[in-house]
Amino acid sequence: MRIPNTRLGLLALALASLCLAPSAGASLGADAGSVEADRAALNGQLAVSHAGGYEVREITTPAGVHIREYLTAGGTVFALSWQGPVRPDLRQMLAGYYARYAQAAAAPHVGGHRHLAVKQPGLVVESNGRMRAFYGRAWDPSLLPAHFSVADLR
Amino acid sequence: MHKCFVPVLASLALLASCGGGGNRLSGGGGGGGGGTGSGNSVPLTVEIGPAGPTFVNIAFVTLTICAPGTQNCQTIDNIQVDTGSSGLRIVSSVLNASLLQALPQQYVGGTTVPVVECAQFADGYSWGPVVAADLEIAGEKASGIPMQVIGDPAFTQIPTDCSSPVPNEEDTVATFGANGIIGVGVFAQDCGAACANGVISGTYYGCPSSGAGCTGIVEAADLQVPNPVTAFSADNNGVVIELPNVAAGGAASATGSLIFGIGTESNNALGTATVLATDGITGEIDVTFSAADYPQSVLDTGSNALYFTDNALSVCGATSNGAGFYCTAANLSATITTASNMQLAASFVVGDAGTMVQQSLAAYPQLGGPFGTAAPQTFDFGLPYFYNRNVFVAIEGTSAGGATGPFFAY
Repeated sequence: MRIPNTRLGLLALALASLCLAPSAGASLGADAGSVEADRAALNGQLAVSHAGGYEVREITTPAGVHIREYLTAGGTVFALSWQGPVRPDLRQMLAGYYARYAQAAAAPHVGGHRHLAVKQPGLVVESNGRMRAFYGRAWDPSLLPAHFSVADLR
Repeated sequence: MHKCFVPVLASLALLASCGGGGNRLSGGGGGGGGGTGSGNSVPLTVEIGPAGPTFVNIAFVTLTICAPGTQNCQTIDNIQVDTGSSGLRIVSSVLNASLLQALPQQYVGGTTVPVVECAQFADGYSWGPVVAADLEIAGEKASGIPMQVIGDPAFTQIPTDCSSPVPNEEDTVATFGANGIIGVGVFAQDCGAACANGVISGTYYGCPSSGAGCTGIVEAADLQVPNPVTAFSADNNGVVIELPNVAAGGAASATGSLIFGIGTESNNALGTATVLATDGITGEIDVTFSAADYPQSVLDTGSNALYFTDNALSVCGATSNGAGFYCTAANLSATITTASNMQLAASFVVGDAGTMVQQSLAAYPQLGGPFGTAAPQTFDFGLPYFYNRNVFVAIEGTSAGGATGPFFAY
């Protein structure tokens, strides 16, 4: 399943609005080249690690949010995770996936203010935590590498 | 030893139990606008709230808000008590027009630009101005503290870096789940040093020109929305959450107490409670469950169930009354590791949510659910863990019962 690449337009928007609202722009379904561009744009720190057929790149935003991007061997971002005192801007991180996430986010949910889960065949987003300690994950089930377990998203 | 004596002013509501120290009334404001009473304790009630039975396991209190230094007051019920956040927030539609008008707006220093806040939640956001208010609850008073008015109709232009992370606006009673919230967690302010040292996207804003054109601002700690307990003249180092035992299958309501102060009165001594120091940045504790470590765990009345990962438990299907929760009953135990490396057993029971959850009930001591699909690092001891247990929540940097906050204890 290919995702329309609306990401470049959103990255330009992200850079333009950086002075007002710095946030991570690396996005689900996009390619590895976006990660370095985001790191430079955010003046963030980047750490890269390799594990079992996929790559993990981490950006830390000025607000202190740690964002991890999981890339396939072919260089596609198949999952994201985040952890920090505030929530990251998922509009840029989910890019072409954002519209369906936004539609589902306001649906009734059982977790009160602490847990939100969007579960669709092509998109899963989990948002947890509270002020000063937010955690979340997002992935496209159809992009997961073989033998990858979502339990490895940390 | 404090003695219980009857306050002289007959217009005050007297609490049945005078376990607290004597007359806690503050000097100002005379009888206060129908103040909720005296002492350091108020009823804490789990019940179906103003947003209906889908909002389960919420513990409510009643409090009084006044325009600072005036008798222009309003007593408001169904305020959610939240040990996982800090700050007082009230839904605008709940406030009388004359009171809303009289609450002084906070402005960006030296300007007439209103300060407006984006309160972030995992499931959405609440947007509204920061104002000053007097809070009266039990015999405690916090004078002129910053408070957030959620969903104020004068501020409807919500910046996208507030709304876009989780685009679920919670600015009405129906969407927020209560008339307001009183955050009495371990932190003294809602944001803390981060917002005082720089502009943090999605937190505090200056919004000129009729609520539009908002830009992020630095917000000094003493201007941020505080844990109101810090502003009491006494009993200001934390709270005790006391909820009664509730039948396994759930109840329509359960009433206990929200007690102010730790080790300050005869009703809030730490006693033999075990102190669980939290992380100073996140307010979290370390839990082990089923041989896995959960270093980002919490005790949190603002969470409505026990949320944890257990693949042996089935999750109720979409058509079940308990959809989203566990449909397997189990007696389980976790371990909490204290800062001094003591191991504290934390036993709990999970019930079958499919049979437990009813439209007529609100208090569910055995409600449990999965913490997402991907392995989290959090074991969330939500409100169910607070039934039949007295839990202390000590504020960072305070001396509480011989220990220093931040900590939980029970």
